[in-house]
Amino acid sequence: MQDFAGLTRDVAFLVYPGIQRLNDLSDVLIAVAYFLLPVVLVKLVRGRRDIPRRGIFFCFIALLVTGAITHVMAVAMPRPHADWLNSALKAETALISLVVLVLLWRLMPSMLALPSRADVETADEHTTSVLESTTVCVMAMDSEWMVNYVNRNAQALLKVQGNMLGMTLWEAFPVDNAVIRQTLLDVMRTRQPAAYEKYYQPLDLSVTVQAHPWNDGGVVIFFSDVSEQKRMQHELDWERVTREQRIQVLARLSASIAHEMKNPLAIIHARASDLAELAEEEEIPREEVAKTCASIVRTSDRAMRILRGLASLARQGSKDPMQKAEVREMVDQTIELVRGRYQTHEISLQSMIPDGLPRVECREVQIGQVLLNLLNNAFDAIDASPDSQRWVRVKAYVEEVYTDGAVGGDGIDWLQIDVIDGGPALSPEVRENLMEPFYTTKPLGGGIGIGLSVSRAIASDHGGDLALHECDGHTCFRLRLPVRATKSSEVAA
Amino acid sequence: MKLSEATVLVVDDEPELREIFAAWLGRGSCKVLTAANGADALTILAREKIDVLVSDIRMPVLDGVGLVRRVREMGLEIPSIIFVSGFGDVDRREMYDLGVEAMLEKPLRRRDLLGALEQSLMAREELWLTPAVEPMECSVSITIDTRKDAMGGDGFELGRGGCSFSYDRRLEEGKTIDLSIKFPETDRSLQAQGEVRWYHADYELAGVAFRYLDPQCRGWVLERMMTKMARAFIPEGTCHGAGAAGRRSTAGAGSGVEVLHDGRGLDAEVAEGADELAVGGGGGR
Repeated sequence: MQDFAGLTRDVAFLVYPGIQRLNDLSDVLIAVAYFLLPVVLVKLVRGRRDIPRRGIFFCFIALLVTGAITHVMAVAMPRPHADWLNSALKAETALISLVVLVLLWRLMPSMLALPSRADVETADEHTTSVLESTTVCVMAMDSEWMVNYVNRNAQALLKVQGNMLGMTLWEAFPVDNAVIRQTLLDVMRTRQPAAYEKYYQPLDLSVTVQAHPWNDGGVVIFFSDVSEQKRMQHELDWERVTREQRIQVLARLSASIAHEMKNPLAIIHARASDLAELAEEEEIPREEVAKTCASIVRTSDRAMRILRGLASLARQGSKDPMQKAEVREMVDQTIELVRGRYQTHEISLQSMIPDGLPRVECREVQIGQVLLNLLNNAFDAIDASPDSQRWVRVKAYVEEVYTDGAVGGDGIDWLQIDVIDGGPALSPEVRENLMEPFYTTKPLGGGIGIGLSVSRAIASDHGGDLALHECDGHTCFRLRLPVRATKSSEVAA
Repeated sequence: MKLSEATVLVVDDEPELREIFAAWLGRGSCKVLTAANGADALTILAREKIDVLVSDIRMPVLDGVGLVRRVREMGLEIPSIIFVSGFGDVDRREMYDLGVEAMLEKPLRRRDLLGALEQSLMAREELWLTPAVEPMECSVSITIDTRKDAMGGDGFELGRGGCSFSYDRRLEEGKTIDLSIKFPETDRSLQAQGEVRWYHADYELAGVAFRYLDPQCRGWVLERMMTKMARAFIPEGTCHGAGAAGRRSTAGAGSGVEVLHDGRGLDAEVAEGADELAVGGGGGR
């Protein structure tokens, strides 16, 4: 059959030489195409790594190459040799074709399962809508840290303006923290997820972050805003510190307060039991009764004053609402708490508070705490040095229209409470560090040095401040509190 | 001495309390002087013969404890001392050693103050004569080797109002106590009722003020108190580590033979008629 066909073809070629040339040209073109097709296939397989059963492509490539070779043979080789080789190649082609058939048949289900472009787009939209609707912020980066996705929450939280896509993470958010930077680099490198917390100062933002490796070779960062929790935590911590400081001050005072209470009680007890005893024995003159009772009333008032000061300090105070309070009353109550100790150590304590001071909006307990800290410090300063003049003065007055840049004077008067002591002048080193937490000049056990820093924080919490001044060469701590002037009602409390 | 014959110095920085105490004592018709603080009191003590000092503790200039220490340092004749105060931060053991006889808490009753005064003015002979009717709240019965042990402790010291001794179980302050101490070297024993005034857990020492002395021991106890007037009301005892002075059985006596020669053991001291250890105040610290 082959001979017959060959004869036929040869006769045709001899009759029409053009047919021979067309045949050869076609063989060459087919061979070129068959040789180039595997290149395209390899590129395709390399580009789409999700294509299943890639082995089949190599079968295709083998088929194409053998095909190409047959066509080259048809042109290049003399007839009898070519016929032999052609037969052999045909046999091989047949074999590979059968293998391809079987493989292709088996591959059919998974080929059919390959998502269509429409499927992929739907899925993509679905994922995006999930990522967009979650409350978590999501940001994805490719393997070069190039940002390729930022969900709406993340954009809102990070106050993204313009397009972050196409910037690297480091450009979009300069990561100043070396540890966090290293953590992220590690996630990228080791493909192991990591979690951390971060405070982002430019936005006053606290976030918890989870960084996960993504299967496109990049990293996805999930993060949530925990600033509110942090703020609450901070508030709780702050509340705890002030409370503990107050308790510490109270504990220090407790011995002298117990003594302060015992004396009035002893007087009341003695007066009353005396009266009772006398009444049993004889008639007591009216004026004697009146005198004794007056003493009892006077003394119990004294005890009450001490207790009032104590009770108001021992109370939780930081959650109290701001309320208008009488300056004189606050100062007097505090003074009453330390008076005994001052007296025992022969330190005169004078308060100079004029009539008609405006009431000041504050948390009384906290201002009491500040005053108590100042009075205790003054006491310690005087008692620690033999060169001290043994006096402390508390002055209160209103400084009108105080302007110092940040807080303008319009509408606000400042109530100033000065605590001035006759202790030795403070050294520059002490002056500089005085307000720092845990700085103390007192001997071990004398205090832990948070009194002034807590006091200053309380003052600024009230919109005022606490600063060290010098009055006629004496140490003077000045507590300033804003007094809301009646004319301006919109000044913040 | 009767209250009416006594001179009492009242020291308190609280004018009204001073006035009240003075009035109370005045009603007992004794002579009353007052001072506003320890320094003023010291001037008066140097000038006048004071039988009883009634003092507050917390005071300006010189407080009560400082006053009593100064009195001792200056070698002034020590009156009976009664502290009237709150005692949160005062070492009772030291106070009784310094000669304080009673520590009365404010507020206090007139009869408590007068009772303490009368008690402190009584001669030793008049004291501790009648046993209490009601049973004591606790009971201690121990044996003490009075010869010094290797650590130099005695385990027993006598003051003019009570005694201190080594005891390794906590005794509660203020409890009444039946006290029975045997001194095997001398065949003597102390049988007394008293009140626990302090207990020092670290040193395992107890201080007891007498309320009653059994007739069979009364003789030698009073004699010891008289031979050299003790400064301490209850000696603070010798501190030489927990349990070191411990109650000793006679088995421990063998090691004390050598020490016997220095004349500080109880029997040696009785033979010599005087011993600073046994009458307190001179005990090593």
